[in-house]
Amino acid sequence: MNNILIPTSFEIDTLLALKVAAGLNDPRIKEVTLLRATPVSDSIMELLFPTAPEDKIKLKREQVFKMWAKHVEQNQLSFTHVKEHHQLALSKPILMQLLDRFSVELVIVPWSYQQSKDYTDRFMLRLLHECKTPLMLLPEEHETQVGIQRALFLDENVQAPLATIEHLPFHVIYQSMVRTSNMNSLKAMVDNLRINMLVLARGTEKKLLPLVANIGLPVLTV
Amino acid sequence: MKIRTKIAMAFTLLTAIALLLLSVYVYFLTRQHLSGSFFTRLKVRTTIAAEIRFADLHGDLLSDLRERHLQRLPNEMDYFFDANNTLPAQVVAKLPELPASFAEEILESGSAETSIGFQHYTGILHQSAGDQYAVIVSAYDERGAEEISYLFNILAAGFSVGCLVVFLFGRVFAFHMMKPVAGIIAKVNTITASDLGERLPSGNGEDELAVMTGTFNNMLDRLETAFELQSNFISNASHELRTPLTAILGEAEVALQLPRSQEAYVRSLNTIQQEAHRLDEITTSLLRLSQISFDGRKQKIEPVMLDELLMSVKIDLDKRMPENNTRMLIQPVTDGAELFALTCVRVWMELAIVNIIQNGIKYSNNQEVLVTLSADSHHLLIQISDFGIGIPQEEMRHILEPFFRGSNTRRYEGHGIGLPLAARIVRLHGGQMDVVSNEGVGTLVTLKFPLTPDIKIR
Repeated sequence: MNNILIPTSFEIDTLLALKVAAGLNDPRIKEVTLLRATPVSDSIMELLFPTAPEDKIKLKREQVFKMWAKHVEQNQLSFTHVKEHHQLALSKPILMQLLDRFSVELVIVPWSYQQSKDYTDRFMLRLLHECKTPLMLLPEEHETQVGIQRALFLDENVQAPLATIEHLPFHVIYQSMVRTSNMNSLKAMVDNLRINMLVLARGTEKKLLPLVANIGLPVLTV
Repeated sequence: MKIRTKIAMAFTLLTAIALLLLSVYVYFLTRQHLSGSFFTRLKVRTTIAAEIRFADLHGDLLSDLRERHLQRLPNEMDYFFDANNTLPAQVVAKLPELPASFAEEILESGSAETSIGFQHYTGILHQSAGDQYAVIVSAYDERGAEEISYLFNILAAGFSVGCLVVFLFGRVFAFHMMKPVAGIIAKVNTITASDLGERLPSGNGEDELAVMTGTFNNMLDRLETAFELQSNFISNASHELRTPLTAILGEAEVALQLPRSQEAYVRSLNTIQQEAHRLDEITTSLLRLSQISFDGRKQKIEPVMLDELLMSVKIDLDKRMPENNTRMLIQPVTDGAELFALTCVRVWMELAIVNIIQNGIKYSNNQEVLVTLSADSHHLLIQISDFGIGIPQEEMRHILEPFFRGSNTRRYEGHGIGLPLAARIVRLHGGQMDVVSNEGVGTLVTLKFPLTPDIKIR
């Protein structure tokens, strides 16, 4: 795993996404890029003379970076290389180029970004779902201080992609391995095995995401 | 001869050959052009000479006019002969420097031209009053000789100066080209066994020199790692061996200082025995570690069902360590149980897996250790994870060194042999072992084997 991309609108849960990235504790992670995409303005004057981001975003951004710096200091993290990229206008080829340019191997999407009503944010999320890069969808609240140790791959209806998961820096357990034991419900499996992430195969998100939404764990699609 | 001189010489030789070929081409082409141009003029002069000589009227007058008003060529001479069979003999008699073939050519084709150095000869047949005559005119191409001589001097000087300049530039070029190499040599000479941290400057380019310095640096990386490993191994091994030895010596000295009761002697002997056992354990582990590399031929290599192996490991662990909390999960397969068959030395593979699981149990204080076995059509994957003390990030690169123990393992028994031994066994079976750890959270060990392993112990 080389780089991580976090699409953000600088809501406070961007910090949570950064903590999750740090909690992966993978020495192969070299940097994390915060990606903020904004639409192209209809006004020719704004296009010719782009102005600084609005004050509200500026304040949120400063707050996120301030809190992250504090978190790094408090926890003495060696993982501190966070950079920011502002993308004016977005399309599928542009996103592909960005993923390629930043050598992104994992995208972490904060909860607020998933819930955003902004057209550009929703468009970005749709494009990210269409890409092959693993996508981690964070829940509304998640305790990340302990890091991610075990993940449950919901592979009942799909063939498990061993090549993709073997490089993940946590123990991925296939749901089919546990099916025979007396853990009937997903919640029971999660509690019993001390799972702190769910993994889905691409193409099954539409069917499975609503089912796992109430578990309150990050969901990784591979 | 130094490479930079060789480069300059090669450079000069190539340029000299090119210059020489060009000069020869220019010289001969110019000479041919000058000669052709002179022959044209000489031929006109021959025709005029014939017309005047054999004119019906005022022959002397025309001759006089020619002498007075038409410019003569340098050393111009006219010769008139009867054009019959004796012409070659007449010509040779008059002009002995000319070959007989010249006169024969005049008879055959009506005209001929030849030159000796810059002395040119032109001959034609001329009809007058029913008789046929041969007219030969000769002249010296003075201007052509001067121009050719001048051109030769220019080309010779240009060639010499050109070669000299190219050689000098070649030296400078070779010097600049070899400068980085000289820098590399100087830098390499400063790197000693005690100073292996130094690296060659890689530069910004992607040329062969950058590749060479990259290769050098990679080699230095490997050398430094090997030196560091050796140094760490010696220091750790000495420490591990000295600890029980010091305890044995200390206990024996204390016991011998004063006469003691039988119980005290028994206590001392027990301590000595314990420490001796520990010493024996360490040396046995060390011996086993070294034998793993050399005794491969004595071991039986056979297909082993890894699911069965894991189950037998679990049964064995439950007997030896009843308080363990190991959970084995195996991926259900539809393609047949052969998917989990791995060609290996069963005893060694069991030893490797047991070592890793035992580490998980030990360093997590009997918390759950999860072992999973999965496979696809290319690989077998065993993952072992625990919720133990983990490994500090800065110590991760040392974990496969024999006798190395993490800084947070002081209160746990161990010799630092288990994981390096497991890694060596996995590697010998063509597999790969990856360790991901988070201090205070846990450790994940992944063993990955290809379904058709490249076993290095046959």
